[in-house]
Amino acid sequence: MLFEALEKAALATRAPIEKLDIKYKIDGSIKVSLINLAGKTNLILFKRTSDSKKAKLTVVVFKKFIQNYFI
Amino acid sequence: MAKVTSSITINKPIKEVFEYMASPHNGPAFTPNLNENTNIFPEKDGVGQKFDWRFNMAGVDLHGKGEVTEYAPPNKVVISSKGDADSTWTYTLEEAGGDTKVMVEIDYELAESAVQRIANKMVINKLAQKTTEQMLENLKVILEA
Repeated sequence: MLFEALEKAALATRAPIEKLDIKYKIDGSIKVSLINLAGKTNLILFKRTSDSKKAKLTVVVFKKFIQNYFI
Repeated sequence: MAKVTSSITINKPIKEVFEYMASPHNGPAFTPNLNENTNIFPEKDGVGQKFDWRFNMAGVDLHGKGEVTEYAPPNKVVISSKGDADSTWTYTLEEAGGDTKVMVEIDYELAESAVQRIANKMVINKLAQKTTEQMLENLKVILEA
C-alpha cells in the first residue's frame, strides 16, 4: 500500500522515481525508505540529499495519499 | 460569495498545461488541502465529468460533488462544486510567447455548518487566497521540471 501511494504520488507530480533496494529516490533528491516493522506498522524515513521543489512536493502528496487510506 | 484570484506564467506549451490541470485526476497533486477526488466519471475529461471531492480547511474536512461545466481546450475549464462549500473554479489559459499564463478565479461560499466548524470567516478568506497562490506555484513546479 505504501509503495503504491509513493508511486502514485510521483506519477501525479511527474517526479522521476528510482527504486534502490528497499529505498526509493525521488527526483534524485530525497530518499524514502519504507520499512515494515510488524503487521500494519511501518516506518517511513525521508533523507534529503539535495534541494528539489518537485521532490518536496511529491513527499507532501505522498503523505496526503497515505492519509486517504485511513479516512 | 467570496472570490479569490491568482495568476502565474508557466514555461510550457499551453496544450500541455491545459491537459494536466483540467483533469480532476491531477487536482490533489497541485491543490494544497484537496485531499482527494474520487469516483471520477467518465474517465475522459470534458463537460459533464463528475467526481466527489474532499478538502481540508483549517483542520476541518469538507466534502462535496464537483462537475466540469465548461471545457474549451486549451483556453478555459470551469469546475462547479456543491456540498460543504459551493464553488466555481475558473481556469483561464493564454499563450505568452511559448509560455502559458494561467489565471484562476475561485468563487466560493461555505455552508453555514462548515463556517461554524472553522469559526472565523477572515481565516477562511486568507486560507483560500493562500491555497490559490500555492496551487499555481505547485503547478509550475510539476510542469516545468
